[in-house]
Amino acid sequence: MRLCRRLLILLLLLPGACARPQPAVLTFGDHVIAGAETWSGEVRIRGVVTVKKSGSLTILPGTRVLFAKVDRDGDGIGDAELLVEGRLVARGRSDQPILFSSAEQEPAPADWKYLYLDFARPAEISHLISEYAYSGIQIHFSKAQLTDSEFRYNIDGVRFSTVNLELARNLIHHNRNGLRYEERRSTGRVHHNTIRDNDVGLFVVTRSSGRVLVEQNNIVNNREYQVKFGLQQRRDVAFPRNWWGSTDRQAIQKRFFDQRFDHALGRAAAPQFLLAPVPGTP
Amino acid sequence: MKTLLLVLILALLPQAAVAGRVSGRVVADDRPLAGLRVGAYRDLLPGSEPLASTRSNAEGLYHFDLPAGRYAFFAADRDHRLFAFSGRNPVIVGKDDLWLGLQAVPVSAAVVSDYDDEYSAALEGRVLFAGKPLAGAFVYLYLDTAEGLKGQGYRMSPPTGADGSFFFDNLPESSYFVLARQRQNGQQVGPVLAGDRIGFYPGNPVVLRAGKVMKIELATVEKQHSAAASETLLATGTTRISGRVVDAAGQPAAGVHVFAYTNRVIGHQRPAALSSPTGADGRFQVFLPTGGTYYLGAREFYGDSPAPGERFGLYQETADHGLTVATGERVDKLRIVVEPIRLE
Repeated sequence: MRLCRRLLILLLLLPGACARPQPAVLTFGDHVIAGAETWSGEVRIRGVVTVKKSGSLTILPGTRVLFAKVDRDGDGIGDAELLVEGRLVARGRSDQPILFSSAEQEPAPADWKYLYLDFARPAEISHLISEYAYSGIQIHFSKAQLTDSEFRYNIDGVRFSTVNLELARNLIHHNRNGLRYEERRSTGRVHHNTIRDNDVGLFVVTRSSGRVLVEQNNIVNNREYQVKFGLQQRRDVAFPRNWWGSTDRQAIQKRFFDQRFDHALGRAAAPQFLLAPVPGTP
Repeated sequence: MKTLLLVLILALLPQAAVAGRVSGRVVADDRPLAGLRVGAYRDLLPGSEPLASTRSNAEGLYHFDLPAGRYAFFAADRDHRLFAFSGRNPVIVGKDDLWLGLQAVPVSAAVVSDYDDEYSAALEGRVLFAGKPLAGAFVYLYLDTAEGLKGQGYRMSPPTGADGSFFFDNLPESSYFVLARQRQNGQQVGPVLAGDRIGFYPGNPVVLRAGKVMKIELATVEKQHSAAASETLLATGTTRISGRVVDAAGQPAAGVHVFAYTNRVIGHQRPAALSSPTGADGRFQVFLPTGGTYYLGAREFYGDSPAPGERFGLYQETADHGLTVATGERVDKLRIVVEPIRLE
């Protein structure tokens, strides 16, 4: 009888003994990373986390980074952010993506500000999901490779200026602007992405001339415009070899906000448009 | 009546409030102009009533004793055939004396004719220097004077060709301030330095009507003087930061400007203050318009956003690159490291 009782207790304790220990939740207000730091598990941010020029941040697969809605300046946009001026390595896996999201119970776009790379060292980001931000990611004055990721429910999904960027195999959907950029002497290639169901698919704000090649993407079902030029975008830009969800040239061009709407703007062109979705896209 | 009231107000102000003397000479082609009415204006509106006015004497000289503040100075002759302005407008009058030369240009009437779009307006004309067409000038349209008619403005023309002509079409019906600038370095934006040309349209702001095109001539003058130690865009004064810019190896970096922004995200807007280019010793000083928190950095070129290859660096002593300075404070021994922007 006593043996049975001991066996029973042992059986009851066994699952607890076998369970993996839960990693502690990291919580930051304003925080500066000047050396090397690695994040895993759950990270909660209530302020501005800055990776200084001398700093390096590695985010491991499966990490959940949750930003509290903290509106310091009262502009309605959350001010929690991750600012990278040093090195960022955020390589998730398809079965263990890295999540950047709102910590709110009922999340909404612009709950937090952005993942912002500014004058940063070359960055590698893959299998990242970024949602409910003002910008899912912003990249400026940096070289970056951004692949196999998802940007959804943000004001701007992906935004950049003056970069050397490869943006490939990403799913960018349900943002106000899917991809927003000011080319400003950028170089790079945007390919094999699906940019769908945003208000505007590509928002080409200004100073763009096609040095960033946007080709081999699915750009479909964006509600207001597939391509919209900003009021200072005076030069023509071509977006060759993309699938626009139609094989009717006029129907494709009708969804471009460009010189056809405002004489001061340049023209958006869709040469060699594809007749079917691009294989190998998310 | 308004002028009388202003004179009374000025007379009743405590003595301490009369802070600065502004003196200068009105000239045309280096010849002094006598008898022009010189006005001190609260804003960049030469058509408004001046806060104070005087006439240039036989040597073209004028002076004002004014309360501290921000003023623009213009002059005109009795027939409004000559209009004189300073490329440094607007200026801050403080306790130090200020010398401000005004250069006169001929005034020509605008011509308005029909435009082929009844829903928008247009503006065209020529930019002139010494009566001849000026090539390589940019014409700027501003909607208001909030930023002192600096920066890129609402619209900016392509550079003028050999005939000096410019054209803006499809403009919303509105009033606009029209300026022209031609910089020796060919840049579209940036400080106007000695030797650059600047033109301020005497009829500012022009009112453009839908369905009409206005044709104007925009005469420019050569800027004679720029503030020596600081290209601060709003003011010179007692609030100052200084230090040294170095490269990654710690060696002095020559030929870079130190800038101060009031917004943490420096983006593509104009800084609140800017230094002259550093010399061989890398030293800089920046006069700030007032106390506050400024976000600091240094870059090789002014205007537009930084370009790949350009030397650039941010103040690294704080995480957000900000420095808080009290009004009247001097902060020395700052250090900023610049490196070329590499995208490879």
